Amino acid sequence: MPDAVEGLVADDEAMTNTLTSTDRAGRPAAAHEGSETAVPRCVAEVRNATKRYGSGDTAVTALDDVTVGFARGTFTAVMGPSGSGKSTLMHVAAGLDSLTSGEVVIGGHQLSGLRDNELTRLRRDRLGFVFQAFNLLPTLTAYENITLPTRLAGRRVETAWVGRLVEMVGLSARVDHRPCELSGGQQQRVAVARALATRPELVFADEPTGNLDSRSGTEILEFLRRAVREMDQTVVMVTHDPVAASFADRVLFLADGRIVDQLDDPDPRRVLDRMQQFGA
Amino acid sequence: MNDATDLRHPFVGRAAAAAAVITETVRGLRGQRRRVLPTFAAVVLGVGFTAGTLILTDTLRSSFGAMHTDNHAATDLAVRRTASFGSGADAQRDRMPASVVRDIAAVDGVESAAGRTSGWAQLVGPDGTLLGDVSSGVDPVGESWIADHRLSPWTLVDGAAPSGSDQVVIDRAAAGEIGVGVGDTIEVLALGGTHQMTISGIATFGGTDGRFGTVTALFDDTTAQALLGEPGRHDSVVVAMAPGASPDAVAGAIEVAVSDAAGGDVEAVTGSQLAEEAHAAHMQDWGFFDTLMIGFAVIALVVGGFIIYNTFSITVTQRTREFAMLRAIGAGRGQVLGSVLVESAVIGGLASALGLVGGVGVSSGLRALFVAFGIELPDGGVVIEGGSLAVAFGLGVSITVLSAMLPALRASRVRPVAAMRDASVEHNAVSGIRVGIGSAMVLAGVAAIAAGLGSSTSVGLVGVGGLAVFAGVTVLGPVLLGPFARVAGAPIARLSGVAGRLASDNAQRCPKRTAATAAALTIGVGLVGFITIAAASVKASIDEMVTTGVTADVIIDSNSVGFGGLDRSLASQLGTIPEVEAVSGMALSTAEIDGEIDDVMGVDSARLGSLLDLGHIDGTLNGPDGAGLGLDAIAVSAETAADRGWQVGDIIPVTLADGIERTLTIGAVVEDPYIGLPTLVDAALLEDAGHALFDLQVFVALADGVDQSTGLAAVEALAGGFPQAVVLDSAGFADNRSALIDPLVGVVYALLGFAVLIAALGIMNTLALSIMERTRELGVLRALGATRAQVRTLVRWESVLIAWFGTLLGLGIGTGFGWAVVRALESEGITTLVIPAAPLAVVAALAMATGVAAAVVPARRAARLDVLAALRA
Repeated sequence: MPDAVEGLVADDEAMTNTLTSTDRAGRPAAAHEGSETAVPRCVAEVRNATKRYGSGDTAVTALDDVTVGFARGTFTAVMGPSGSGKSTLMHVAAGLDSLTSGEVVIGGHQLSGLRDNELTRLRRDRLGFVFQAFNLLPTLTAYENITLPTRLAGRRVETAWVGRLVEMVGLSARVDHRPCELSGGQQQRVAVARALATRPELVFADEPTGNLDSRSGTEILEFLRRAVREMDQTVVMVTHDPVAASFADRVLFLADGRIVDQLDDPDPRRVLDRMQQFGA
Repeated sequence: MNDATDLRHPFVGRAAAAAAVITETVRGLRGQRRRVLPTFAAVVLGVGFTAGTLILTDTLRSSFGAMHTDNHAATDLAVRRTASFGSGADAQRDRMPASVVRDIAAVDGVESAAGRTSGWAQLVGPDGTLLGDVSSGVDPVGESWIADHRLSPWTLVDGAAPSGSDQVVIDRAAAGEIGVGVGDTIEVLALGGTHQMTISGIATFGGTDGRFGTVTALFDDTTAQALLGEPGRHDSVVVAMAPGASPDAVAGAIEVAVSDAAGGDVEAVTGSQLAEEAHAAHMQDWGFFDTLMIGFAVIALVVGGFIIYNTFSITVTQRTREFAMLRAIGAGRGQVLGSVLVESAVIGGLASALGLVGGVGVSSGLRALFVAFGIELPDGGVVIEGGSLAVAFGLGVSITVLSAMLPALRASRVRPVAAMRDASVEHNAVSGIRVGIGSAMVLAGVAAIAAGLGSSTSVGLVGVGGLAVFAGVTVLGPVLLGPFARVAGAPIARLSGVAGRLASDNAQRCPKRTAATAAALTIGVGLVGFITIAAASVKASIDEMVTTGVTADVIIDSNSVGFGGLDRSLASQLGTIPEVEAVSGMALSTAEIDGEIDDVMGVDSARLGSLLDLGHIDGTLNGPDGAGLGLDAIAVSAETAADRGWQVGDIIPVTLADGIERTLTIGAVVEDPYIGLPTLVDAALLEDAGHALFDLQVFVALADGVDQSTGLAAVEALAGGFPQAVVLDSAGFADNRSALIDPLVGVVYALLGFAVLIAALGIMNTLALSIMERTRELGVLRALGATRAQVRTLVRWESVLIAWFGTLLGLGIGTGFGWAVVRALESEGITTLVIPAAPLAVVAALAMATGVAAAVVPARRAARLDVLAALRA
């Protein structure tokens, strides 16, 4: 198990290098120098992350010294039983929640020092989100929902790119519809396109198939995988569905706030086996 | 057994079930402070303002009552002539010869008696300040000094009683105000002009520095008669009775004993009767303010009602799912409704009670407001009448319960399954019925207004029409909102990008809610718009009337509104200087003309034609000999003549203050008499009847060849001896007269400002509740990268859109209504319609600023939402 965990992350020295030496543009120096070291080009790294809620006797440790990196162009699934810390991991990695100790680095930016506005901008420009409940804005059309983050940034919409996304998720005919006129599966496809529209460094998907039937769910997972394979996007997905997890390149297993195992090139049966091992 | 009692647990009785519901309700209230708070605030404000106005009304009535009682407490009996005409304190009475005092003193049971005379006398401070101002409720009064303590509430605290024609005693409050004391010289304005007098003493009134509502100058008996009334005559005789004497018996004896000596019937009344009369008359004068206050209370309650209703319909709708859950686990419809009833009654009761407490604060705020606008109000403890409290409390609770029950009824009709599926089941579809009803109401209102403006103009009909239009527009609000938000939202989206776009989307999301929120503002802004137009039109009409009606070159205004004015010697002196061609004063009095009591103007009728443009005149004002109407003739307006079937040459009975019925010939019928004063006589006739006569204004035509500035200078030189004289040209006179309505308009604006404030709280409420409802969406926006500033922008623009909508409707309705009312009042002399763009633009800007202000707190709350918590909501 420890071996497996170590395999996920850069060795300490290389990591330190990545985290500390950034150029003026805020990009990690290592990224410019290509794969000079053996470090994977991590777009996001979580290091010694600990999150405790409450204090004293009632304190709950949601994350316990977790260190993990997410390399560009990879699709990672995070699994674990309820309360294992998988959602907390995603939230701290996305800058939606703060750490008790440890650090999170996204695109060369250490999150802990950032103020709310900087965090917001980082989410807007470098991250994408897919929620279990779709969370489209009801008053906006599908197309407007997709371009919302770009427009929040006050930037010009890249029509070609958005067009490609809309086509990929198969919604070309329905972009002018409002969410209430779309099925759940269609809504989630809009959400996927929205998450990818700003070409983020990293897309977080929180149980994206949780509210969908299996066919629609599979479509969504296909889109996420295509985004990784064909568009060099990076996706981190929290799920408790072994079939969903099997679409990922690797699966991380969390229990009691720690990463307890990982599985590369998973298939549903092996995922299920591991899960049973951890009592998930 | 009906549905409501069809419990799944057969052994649980009705009462236990109800108790469970109530317990659940109270626990629910405590747990949902965020939801309850806006409702609570709405009820507190609505009830608070209503209670506040009622409390102030009660307090003032009681204070005035106490004041009049105090003023007359020292009087056992007062003997006076019976009324020539009129009744109560408005009655016109003749005076009595001074010798009557002795006759009265000789009546059995009378211990002492003294003659009393009172009238207009105004003190002038060393720096020229005029003390007292009738329009502020402080009369400048002169009285005869009565030394006997049993007969007078005045007590000397310094110096000596007045003696001789150059001595005066003034009240301590006035002395303090202008910084004078015993031995100082002071100018006193009264009959005969300006009198230089020495202050012989300072007096207090029943232990207070002065008498409320007056500034008082006290003269010796003879001087008082000369300056205030008629030499040798008294207004009344005050009487102190011997111990143990019966007031009725003494009064009867006096009435019998002195009628002949007094020149006619007399009556002896007690001090408390005098106090009652004075109070009744005061309340009649004050009635206008009373109506204003009650009107404001109604407005406050209607605006508050809108907010309460709106807040409840939002919160109850938000809880549809909760009700469905209760229904699903076995609560009957009646039980769900019952829980809402209990909850709203608890909120309504608690908040109304708090509102009553707040009302006390509001009443003192309103009092301060009146005082700030220069209206004197008596001091005195706050008086709270049970009835007023009951009205405010009852209205608060019933509006609250009603506001809660209507949406709850709707919510309870939703099938549990459907309700649990949808997060919110607010019916947003705008029905055809709504369009139909709303349009019908607007059309009916417009028809009523048209009818009211038709052949027989009726302000009442116009008012009803205006109400119907307002109600119709309120019903149509949700229909109008969509198009409005799309049009108004476009520039906002261009200005603030996607946040602006979302704001205009949000404003349209619950059209009923947004429209109802805006309606509260519509009322306030509509009334402000209406008042703005009405005030501007009244001013313009006065202006118009003065500029076309007055052909005089110079006008001397006294700024009097009827009590006191310029001594008539000014006009006669002006007639003697070479720069002046013609001059006439204009004195106001009252007469009973062929059975109807009306104002009459005393003028120099032979000169009036060259000073005022009176339009076509049947007959002549100059009289047969060119000397004017004289003592035997009267001139009436064409309108009065038409109403009463008079024509030139008719002889009509006219009773003046002396009670003598004169038969006067109608000498002239005047087409355009001067500002609402239809009846003219020669001033000499009024003087003959014993009126203490002052000119409100003096009109002067300059001689040929005298230019305006020379003439003005000559008039000013003469008028310099009359401190209250304001010398003006006709434009200045118009401004001077129209400015008289400014304080009133100011008060009304301030009151309506409160209504707008309540409406702003309504916007705040709606926004706060909408934000609660959209917490998750805001979380998503924040997660996707909306900055706090963008979230604030979003909330602010939504608020501004609501305010805009309410303001535009209000200005539209207010302008239309203002137009209609002004038109309807054309026959009352408001002939010029003015729709003043600049003030209305200011109103619009302020109302929109209100929208921005209302958004501050909700916007901050929305921006500070914890993103994760919001996403989970």
